[in-house]
Amino acid sequence: MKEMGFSEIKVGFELPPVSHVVTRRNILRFGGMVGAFNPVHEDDELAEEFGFEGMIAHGVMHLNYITQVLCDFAGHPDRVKKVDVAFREPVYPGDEITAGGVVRAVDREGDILRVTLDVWSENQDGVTVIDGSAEIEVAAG
Amino acid sequence: MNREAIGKEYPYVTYELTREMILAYAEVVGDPNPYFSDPEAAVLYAPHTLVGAYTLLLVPYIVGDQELDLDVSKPIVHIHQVYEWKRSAKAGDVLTVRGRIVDIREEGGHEFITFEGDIVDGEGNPVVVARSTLRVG
Repeated sequence: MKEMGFSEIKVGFELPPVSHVVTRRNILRFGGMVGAFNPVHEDDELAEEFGFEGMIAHGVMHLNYITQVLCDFAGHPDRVKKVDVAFREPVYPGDEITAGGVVRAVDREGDILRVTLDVWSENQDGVTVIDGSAEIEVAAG
Repeated sequence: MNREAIGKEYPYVTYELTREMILAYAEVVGDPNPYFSDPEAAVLYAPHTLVGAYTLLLVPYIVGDQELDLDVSKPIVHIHQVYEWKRSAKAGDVLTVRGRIVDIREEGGHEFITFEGDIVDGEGNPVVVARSTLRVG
């Protein structure tokens, strides 16, 4: 994992984005893994009865695309401290989701840099599916 | 929903975070970071949403809570999430989810329920605080 010089973090820095295509198989596997059984994540017909175009992905599953961006940027899992996000739109099998973030504030507290970011993800049509904020902490360079 | 359920706590759920769980989760969320996906790693870390995701183990208690009276005939959708990580979770951690309802409200024809899960390790030290809001209807 590439380390960056954290003394060089500036407001407005855009984190390298990541993209993933969501699959039906992974949605079903995710639900089974965490015991999150909900018809909207399992059954197209039931999801359609609830007003969706078909089954949808668990928000937590594609939220990890954002934490992936944060951890890749920060360089170590310990450095990712917080996310606070809203799930704006449903994500369907076949959607390509791109996650990213931009630095909004850098505060030095002793030897620690607390970095506050805006984070988001969007689908292949440019529709925002998640937005919110995040915090990472890194050692000052 | 019954607003008197605000503050209600649910049974603790304890599980061991295994290497197999972490590797499977990293594959499902497509995270290639070797901290999470290298089966040979001496220390295998959990992807950040994994431990929080296990607060979803509370959902069956919430949905089945007759005192809460959540209408399961309506769609239930996750609309907001906060995770605060106190330390990284790793393979071999034995984690306990301590969950409670922190808010129930109505707005715009929908009902909303927010529950919070404190995830602690075997020594009772905090690992993650997860606050999840679901929209019902």
